[in-house]
This record gives sequence, structure tokens and C-alpha cells, in this order.
Amino acid sequence: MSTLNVNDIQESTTNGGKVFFNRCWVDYAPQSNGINGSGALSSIADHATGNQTFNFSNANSTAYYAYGGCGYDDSLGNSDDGITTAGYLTKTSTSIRMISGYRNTEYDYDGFSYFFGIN
Amino acid sequence: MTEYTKYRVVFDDPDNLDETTKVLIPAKEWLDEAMAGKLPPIWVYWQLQDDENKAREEGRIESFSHDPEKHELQWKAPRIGPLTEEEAMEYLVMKDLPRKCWAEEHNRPMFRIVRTEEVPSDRQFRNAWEMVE
Repeated sequence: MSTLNVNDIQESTTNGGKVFFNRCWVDYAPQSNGINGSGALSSIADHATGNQTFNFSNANSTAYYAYGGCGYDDSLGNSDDGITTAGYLTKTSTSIRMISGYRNTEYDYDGFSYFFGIN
Repeated sequence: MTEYTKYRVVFDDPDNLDETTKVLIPAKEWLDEAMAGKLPPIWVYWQLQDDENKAREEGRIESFSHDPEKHELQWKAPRIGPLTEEEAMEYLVMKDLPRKCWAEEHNRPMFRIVRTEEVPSDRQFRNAWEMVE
């Protein structure tokens, strides 16, 4: 499992000359099982508290392109606020399964998740 | 939050039946595309999944890249036309659920398409959720 922090994400618009072509934000509200915003996603599979699979609309070219961060933000917006750490459990070219890095009490907070891919 | 779909999918992993039941939530943009007729035939995704699974089984996933022609079919294959919301959910099951959930026979259903209000909003006992028939 890999652990990322917000700096990894912010620095990730380029990575060794590679350009991320599939960069998007996702707000997931577990209490209503709702996706408040998304991009390049077809669905989210909620496995249990703090553990979700993000299914991409289309397959990317490789299986090991994706990184992401999880966190919470009371305002639920497209910002880095609240993102701290995240770990991924599995990756394919069509999905990434992530587990919240530090907060599993989604009962108290809306979820906030983020991922991107590289071309 | 404005509700954009009437449906969710609840499912179990046939290989891990001790795990809590999972809930699949469609994304609005994808659903809009499905209902606007912008999706490729489902076999386009299955073909990519098959190639990737084969690479994983053969231990070469680290260096695996999709065949460019098959990969581009996601955008170049003829579109299948507009789907109803119900048809879109069936398509999503075949695209995003593990294939063993819906393509193999089990002694009970491994997934159900349910109405949104059937999924509890109280998650206090989330780790104990089970799918009932």
C-alpha cells in the first residue's frame, strides 16, 4: 500500500515529464450514498466505512497510473483543504480502490476524495 | 444534494462473502452520457478487462499497456444509442461490478439494483450491512 500526502497531489500535475490527462475531483457523501461532483467517473463502490473503489468512465492506457488522496472538508469543494493522506488497496486501468488515510468516522463528516491519472 | 438517479446497486463479492455488502453509486456525468447515447458497446470494456486480467495472471501487469487500437475503441466504436435509466444501470453492472457477481451462477443473487431510498442513510452499523433477498 502506498501512502500519499497533499504535496504529492499538488506536485502531480507533471511527473517526470508525464502529463496527467485524467485529473479530477470527487466529493462522496456516504450518508446519502451520493456523489456531489465527479469527473471521468462512472461509479463509486462503497465497500464500507472509509473504503471505496472509484471506477473510471474509460480505461486508461496502463494499470499503474493512478494516485489519489482522501480527506474531509466541511465545505465539500474542489480544494485541497482537508486532504491529508490516503492509501490505495488495488489499482487497475479502470479503477482505484482507496482507503481513507486518517479518518474513518464518515458518520460525522462528509467524505472527500480525489484521484487523477497519468497518460 | 439533488438526487439525479433513482437507483443504486448493492452487491457482494462471491470470493469474500464474509465482507459487508457493498453499494455502487452511478456518477451523474456518466449517467447523462449513457442516456444521451454516447456509450460504446459493452464488449469494448470487456475486451480491455480480459487483456488486463490475462496480463495479471501471467505476471506481466507491471509492464502492461493496453493495445492502442482496442483502447481507442472506447471513443471510436459506434455508439449504442440512448439508454433508459434502467438500461444504463444494467450496463453499469456489467461494466463496473466484478464479472463473477453477474456472469456466474451462485446459490443466491450476488447483486440487486435497488431504489436509492432502500439504502440506509444511517451508517452506524455500516460494517454489518447484508443484502437480503
